[in-house]
Amino acid sequence: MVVDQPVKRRAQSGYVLMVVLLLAGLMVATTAAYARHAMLDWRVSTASLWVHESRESASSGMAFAKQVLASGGSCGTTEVVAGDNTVTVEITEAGPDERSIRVDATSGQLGSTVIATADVFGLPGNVLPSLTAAGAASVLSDGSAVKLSGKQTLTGQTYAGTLILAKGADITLSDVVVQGAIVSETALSAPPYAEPDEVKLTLAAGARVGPSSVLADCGIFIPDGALTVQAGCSVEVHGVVVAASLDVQGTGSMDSHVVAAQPFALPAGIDRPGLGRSPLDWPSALTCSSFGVARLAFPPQAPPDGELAAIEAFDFPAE
Amino acid sequence: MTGRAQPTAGMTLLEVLVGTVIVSLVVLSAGWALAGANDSKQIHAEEPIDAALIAKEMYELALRQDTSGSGDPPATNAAGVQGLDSLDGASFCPPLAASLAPLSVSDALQWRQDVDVQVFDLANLDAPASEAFAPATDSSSKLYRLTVDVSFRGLAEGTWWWWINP
Repeated sequence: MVVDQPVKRRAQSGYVLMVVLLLAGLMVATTAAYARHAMLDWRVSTASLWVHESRESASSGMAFAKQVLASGGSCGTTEVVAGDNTVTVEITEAGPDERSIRVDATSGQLGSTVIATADVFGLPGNVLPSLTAAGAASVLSDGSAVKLSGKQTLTGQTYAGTLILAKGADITLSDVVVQGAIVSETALSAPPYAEPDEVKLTLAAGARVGPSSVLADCGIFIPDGALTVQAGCSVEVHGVVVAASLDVQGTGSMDSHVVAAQPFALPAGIDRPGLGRSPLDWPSALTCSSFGVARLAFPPQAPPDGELAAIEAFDFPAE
Repeated sequence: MTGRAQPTAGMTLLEVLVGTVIVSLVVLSAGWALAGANDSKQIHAEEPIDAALIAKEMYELALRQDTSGSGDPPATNAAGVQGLDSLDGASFCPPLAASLAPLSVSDALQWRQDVDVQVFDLANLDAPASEAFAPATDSSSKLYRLTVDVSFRGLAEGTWWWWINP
């Protein structure tokens, strides 16, 4: 028996097409995202030579800037060749004791920038201060200055001015009062000084040095010399003591900075009045070129306009 | 037999057009991705990163060295590294890492690092003040230039150099 009845049909395929289109759209988004990754990867990945070269060029530029400051160089902008790149090093004065450093390095199309702030401060370490031009001129114009040379032992004398130790001098002061500073002749010129221990100064029995009206706050300044204070000597020094090497025995006092290029230790018998209460100032007649980097910054790089536009134009797929 | 007429099965012209556009985008994106990947591969092939990293290990090692001058001869192995002056003229095969351990790299015995140290004055970075290492104080106006040549199986892979503070 045949019964006439309506034929049942399935739903139309429009929904299938919609699903296919959505999947295709997802594929487009995924492929485009990967394409962008592949395009950027060779420029910014850590496996890119450009990344390494720009960073290392920036490091070389920073080494240059640090050495300029350490050597007492002046501010300015310098183009420095570092590796295969040219680095721009800019040092500016950010304050009386502060310098700002900016290093810009570019390799290929990728740039690295390092920004640092350096504190310039008077900490000798193995870097001895030097006389300023004004300080040296002040000594040279001191009419009461006495110049000593050769090997001499001076006993029981009083000097009312600066004692200048000539090159190669080997001087022993025994029971001597110097109403001024003791300065080596070499120190009157700019460093670097010729040879360490070129001058020898020995204090024996008793010695009083300073204060000086010619070189304020300077006591003994022989950055090219060796200072020896013999055991049993009673010593009193007013002002900074600077020498290439120090061998201090005896007793007494030194009331300001005591620095040397070579390691040394002061005996317990040497009083340091005022030391540790507050930072000691350095005499204005001395230049201290030491410095320390206080703050470092690695600012993020702004992508080029083309990349920025591509990033902004990219439409992420809807979730 | 009775019944209503059914809509025609299939796609409209609009659906076909939209589908065509989407498929085109897929093809274009795939091409873009392949081109980018190809560029990346080509650049890496032209400028291999391996040699640069091997050279950089020597830079990191040099930064750790004392610059006062030890008087030691040029190093040929980790034990011989006794300050920056021992790197002047040094040659390492297999290459050394910054930690002084042998560098972990495939075919290590085929790689070589040749190191050179020169002294430059800050005022003239174009010509060396001294071709050989010379001690300099922290506050001097000198800079060291560390140059590292990297070779693989006797063939030069590249030369890299850096400025170093005394």
